[in-house]
Amino acid sequence: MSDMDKRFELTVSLSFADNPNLRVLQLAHQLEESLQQVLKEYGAITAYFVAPQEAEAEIEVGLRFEGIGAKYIREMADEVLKKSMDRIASSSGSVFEATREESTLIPA
Amino acid sequence: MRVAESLVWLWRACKGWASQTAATLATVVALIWGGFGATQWTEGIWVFWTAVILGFLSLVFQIALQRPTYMDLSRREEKAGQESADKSEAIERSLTVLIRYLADHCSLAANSDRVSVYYHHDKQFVMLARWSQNPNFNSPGRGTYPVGQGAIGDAWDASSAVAELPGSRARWNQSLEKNHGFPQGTAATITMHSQSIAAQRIAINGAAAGVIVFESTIKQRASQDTLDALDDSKLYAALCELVATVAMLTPRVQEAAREDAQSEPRPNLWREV
Repeated sequence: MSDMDKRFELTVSLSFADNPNLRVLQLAHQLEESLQQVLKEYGAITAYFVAPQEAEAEIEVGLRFEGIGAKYIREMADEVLKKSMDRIASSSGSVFEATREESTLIPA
Repeated sequence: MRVAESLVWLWRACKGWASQTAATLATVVALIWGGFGATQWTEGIWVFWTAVILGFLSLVFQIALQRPTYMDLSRREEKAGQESADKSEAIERSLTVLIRYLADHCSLAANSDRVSVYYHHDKQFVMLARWSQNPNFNSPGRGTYPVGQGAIGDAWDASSAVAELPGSRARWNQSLEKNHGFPQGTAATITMHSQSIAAQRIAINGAAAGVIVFESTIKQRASQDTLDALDDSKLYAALCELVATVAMLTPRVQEAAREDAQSEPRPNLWREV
């Protein structure tokens, strides 16, 4: 089975530790709404999740990819996350510094 | 043919048991002789001599028939153990050579990198071989690893895993313990601060046998490209065969203790787009 026939799940942890006044739950909600809009442009991403982790000031984002080579996933995920954060910034007027702490890519 | 075989086995049984049988009979006869009381040196004298003769025969059988002797067998056992250990080490060395070439092939053979092979045995992973150009990363580490821990567990469950981990050591330790199943305090003891990991399950004819793990202290160095290069290599096919067939002969698997550890299922958070 080629990469194109496989499904992959990428889980990314975004850290907002450098934003002391951040409300993680609220941002996670905004990120989910923004992600829903951005994902309309990406047919290869068929499922997602957004899981806030308040204690660590982190948000875990999951993206499921289908019909795309594994080597392009990271690039596409970065693009999707950047677009989503940009949408939040333009709609709320506040810019949040997100650090990509870690990620895991596995076949689904 | 069957008669000849039976005779051989009868002879082996006699040879194996003659000495003990004669000694036991000598003891029994000596006890009977004791029962004669005051007449033991008159009426019972023949019983006394029977016991002495049986005792003597036991000694003769022991010396004449018990070949090889107990001392010989002990020496042979020691030699066989040593030969077995030498062969096990030779197998481990061959695996190390193989993974060194694989690291080269996958462009992950720099001072920052390491490759390890693990065998799945009794609900845990046993490290079969490890290679790194950096001597600090070459140590065997914990030797055995519970299922469901780190990238090894992820790759075992999902067939492959590519992970990136935090750059700060404090966050790295926290992440390993919080997200990757490491027990409290374990992460801080790990020498290599791997920031990128690519791991793949080793399987032969559909049966999973172990996991190969590429790690690097540099972000994005071990990646999906590493696993793609691995899949294309004939050396990897040879490694899979070797792991599946000879792993049980390697020293670490032989020493592995039993441990019950299961990977914990994660809650389903996914939403369809």
